[in-house]
Amino acid sequence: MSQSPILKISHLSKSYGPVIALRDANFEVLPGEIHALLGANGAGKSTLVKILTGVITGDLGVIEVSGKQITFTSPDNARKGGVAPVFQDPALIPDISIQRNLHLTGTDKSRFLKEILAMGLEVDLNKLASEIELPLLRMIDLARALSHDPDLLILDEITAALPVDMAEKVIAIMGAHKAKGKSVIFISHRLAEIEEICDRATVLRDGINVDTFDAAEGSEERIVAAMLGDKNLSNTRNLNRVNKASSEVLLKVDSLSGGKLLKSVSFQVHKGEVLGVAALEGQGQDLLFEILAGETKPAGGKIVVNGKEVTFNHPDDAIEIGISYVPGDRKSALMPQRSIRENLALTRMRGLRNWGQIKFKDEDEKVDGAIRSLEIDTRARSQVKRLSGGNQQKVTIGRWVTTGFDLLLCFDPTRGIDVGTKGQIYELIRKFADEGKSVLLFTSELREIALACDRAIVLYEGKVQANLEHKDCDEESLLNAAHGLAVKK
Amino acid sequence: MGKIKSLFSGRLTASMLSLWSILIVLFIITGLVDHYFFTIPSIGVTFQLAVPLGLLAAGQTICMLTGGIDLSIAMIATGAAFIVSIKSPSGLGMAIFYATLYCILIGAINGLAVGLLGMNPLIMTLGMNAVLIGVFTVGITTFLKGSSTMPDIIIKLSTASIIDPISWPLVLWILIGGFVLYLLKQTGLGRLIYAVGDNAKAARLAGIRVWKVQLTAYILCALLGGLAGLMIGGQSGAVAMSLADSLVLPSVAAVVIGGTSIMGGMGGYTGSIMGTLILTVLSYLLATLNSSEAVKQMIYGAIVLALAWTYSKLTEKS
Amino acid sequence: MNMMLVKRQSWNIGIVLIATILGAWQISRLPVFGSYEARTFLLGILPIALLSMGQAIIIIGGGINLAIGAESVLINCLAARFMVGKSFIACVLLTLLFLLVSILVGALTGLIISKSKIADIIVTLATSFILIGLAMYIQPSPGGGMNLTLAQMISGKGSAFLPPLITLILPLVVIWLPLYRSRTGIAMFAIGSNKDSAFLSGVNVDFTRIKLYAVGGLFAGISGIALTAITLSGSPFASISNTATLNSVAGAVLGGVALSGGVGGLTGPALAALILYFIPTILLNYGIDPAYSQIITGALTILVVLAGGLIRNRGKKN
Repeated sequence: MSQSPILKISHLSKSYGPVIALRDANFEVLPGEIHALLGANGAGKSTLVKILTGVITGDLGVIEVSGKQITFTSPDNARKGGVAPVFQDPALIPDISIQRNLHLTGTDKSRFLKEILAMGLEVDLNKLASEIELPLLRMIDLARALSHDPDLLILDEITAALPVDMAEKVIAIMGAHKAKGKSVIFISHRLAEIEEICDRATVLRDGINVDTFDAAEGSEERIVAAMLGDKNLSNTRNLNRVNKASSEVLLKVDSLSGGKLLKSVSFQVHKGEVLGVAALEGQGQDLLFEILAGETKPAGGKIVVNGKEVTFNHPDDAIEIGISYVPGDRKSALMPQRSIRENLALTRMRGLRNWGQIKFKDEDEKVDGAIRSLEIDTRARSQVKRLSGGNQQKVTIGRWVTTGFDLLLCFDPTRGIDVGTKGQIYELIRKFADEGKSVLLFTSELREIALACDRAIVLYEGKVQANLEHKDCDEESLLNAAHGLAVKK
Repeated sequence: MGKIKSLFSGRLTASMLSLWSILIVLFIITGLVDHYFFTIPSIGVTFQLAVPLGLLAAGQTICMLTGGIDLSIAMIATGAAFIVSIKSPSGLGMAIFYATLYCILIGAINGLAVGLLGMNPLIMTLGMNAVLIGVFTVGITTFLKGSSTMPDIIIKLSTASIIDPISWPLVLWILIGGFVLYLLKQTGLGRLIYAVGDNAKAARLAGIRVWKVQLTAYILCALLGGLAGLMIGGQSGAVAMSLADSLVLPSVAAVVIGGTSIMGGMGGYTGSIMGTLILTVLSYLLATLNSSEAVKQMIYGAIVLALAWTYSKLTEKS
Repeated sequence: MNMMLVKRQSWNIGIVLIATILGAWQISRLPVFGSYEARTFLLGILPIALLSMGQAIIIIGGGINLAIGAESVLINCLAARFMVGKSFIACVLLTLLFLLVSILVGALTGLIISKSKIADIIVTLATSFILIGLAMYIQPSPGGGMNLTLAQMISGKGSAFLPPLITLILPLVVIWLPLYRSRTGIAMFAIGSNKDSAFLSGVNVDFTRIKLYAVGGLFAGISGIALTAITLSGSPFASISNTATLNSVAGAVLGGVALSGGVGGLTGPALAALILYFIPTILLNYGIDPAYSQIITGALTILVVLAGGLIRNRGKKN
């Protein structure tokens, strides 16, 4: 292909304080091409997209659109420059009508309605954005972007948790856009979609583009290899460890349901066991963890701990009987402006009897112990917001080390964390199990299930799709089950 | 092992340094303008005048650290003073008891509304203030009829000097201020106040009953406000409906100047003490400048804004 | 479609109902109800209704202006000071000039909030001091005046109730309606509803906030001019501005503007001012101390915010 690229990025870099999000990204999109942008969490995908759409500006590097060097200073600016994004969270203003939303972005109404009609959908323009279901809202956002006839359409995880028919429509739209000679950057974790529709794929890892290739049938392995890169991770934690889990059941969940996504989930966690939970985005896993942590009330079903049925009105109730929760979003676990010590010791203040004089000596011991055993870097100890992501995650886990627990609920603890710290966190989880404690671990990176877990369950559409022993926890089986397919034996 | 020191970070001491320099500069300017200011009795009076604001700021600090604000503190203070003056014929003990009960009740209503019902603290306490103004306006002609002078002992406690520049109110402020500092830095409740203000959701997930912390904060704030009300009443000798009105906004300003974030979780009472002293010296300076009330208000507002701005830039940098 | 409209307008319909009932009640107490009484009603609500509208715009855009009363008092004092004894033409020109001043004051407030990144509450608390100071400086004691012809054009005379009605409705039609339909107006709702989405939709958040406060300022300015026309004098009192600010927040909230921003309109707040006016008048009719109205207003504001919050929370959970 000798055409001049519609988009060319050279040596793009961006750092947030000490955290480097993009190191040296180079990347080209040709006219009439659907280009997949891939990478593990924290590889720099979202930063790249934010720079391309004018949400933030890069520190160094050059962006060229149709051969002209430009810097997008705002999303409006980028849209006028022919780059239109559609995000996983639609950028529609919730409290105003669709019509006014269109007016806000200067979108032509009849053009928009044409796009919606072409999708085979119907939209009441007088409805508020907040009154519309998420999948339809995403399609509206997409139609709005298309109305501006962008040279480059950026679709960021738009198919995540989208019903199959809608996802197919998105694929068809991408094809049509390509047929017009325009380009698409497609970001998705559904590898099948990428093989189906994309011409080429670029993989980012640690802020650098590591590989670009034709996304033909069967390139899945190459994608995975490029995304993971560091083979050491799998070697350090090999699979021949002893499963010390006892046959004693600690937690029994029986047809638990809640919200729109969680339909009916049943499983057991044994003492000294790490049970993995695998699922694509939006299969009800968030809610499952929140319910077990006492944060949300279930709509139905039973939770049995040590043979006794329990109900939680507050996270404190769960903590009291030994269930501790490490939420996926570190923002909802940490006091960003407070010190490591205060964050670690926070749960010690539960209950009125601990409101008095702090027992500093005891606290020193416990806090120092947690810092040592988790190897937390204490150079920026005065405010945890100044710690790196990995260290912050260690603090959220360390909090429960200082208080003690029987069952730790870990929701995607390695999201956006460097490989080294990931290894430490998995080692730590294994150590908990060796000490006879149990861990329920959800991870969005399927291959990590085999590294850290003794068994795994796979959720699909709010139900347990598969119950896998450790030997069966290979990525392929997990992925199949996560897509609702039967597991090959 | 440096556990108390570790409660201060490098940045906090830097901003504390700037507060000290502002205070000293203001102090010197005031002394140059008015030579009497540098005398021991004058310093004593300045401290004495700072006490009510300092107590109100203490309550406001606690509330704002949890991410709240209490604008009903004016009527809490005024109400407490009213109750004490009216009930004093039946004995000081009873009077103080009723006033305490009143503060706890109002604080508890504010705290429960904010903590359990998720009310916006600004609206809740503004509304509460309006309600209390109404209640007392009606009350003083009906069920709260009676004496409007403060008992002698309270007048003494809020004005009498021990040895210049040490006065009874100053001693009281040192005791109570010391307690507030202790509470915020050395107790579990103090930790929780910061934690709730910094991230209420995270505090809940960590097993903290957030509403209990907020409830306690508003009650403490009301009690400190009530005490401040008695001091103001004692200093003016009699009570009136507008007793504490003019100190509400300064109480917020003192806390903000002192570096406590209105979003919560950051700051402390040390800063508010500095803020109180700065505002008190500033008022003194503006009074001695013989400037009109108009100019005073303008300068006051401008300086509060400038200090808050400087502080936010200072913390943004690091 | 129609059901949806009814549902969305249900708050306004409720407000109209309550205002009508209270109005009917009040009218039934009067021996006669003619255009003279209608004008008295309108004059009673005009300044506060305009101020509530100004506050409503700012709250819709995700802010709050605790200096809006001070701004209105400032314009009131400016007008009264410089219009006294002037010709009709001069007064008209001065009116335009002072409205421009009110826009600039609002814009400056918005600019400070955007640039300093300090919370709206703190900035406007500080500017309220400055603006009241300015007002006192311009008009040190109550007094001044306005050309009578202009005053009567704004507020009417005797039983001419049309002029005040026009003064009330004209800003709605001339300023709000076109603004609501324009991209700028949508952008104001957008930054109040969700700043991030607004930014992604291409809204310049800081500039929109400046425009937001400028429009709010303009309404405060109109309110100040109306006040001058009604009272034919300027009153530089902080107590007036504080009460006005409080009532403007109450009016906006009662009028269906969500404190969280992004939701509401200006008709509701204008009607809410009517309710806030009727409560004390009716109480007075029955020989009840009008101080009770303060209790009712305060409690009503709290209850409305509480109910609004609970309804929204329930909506979220479903």
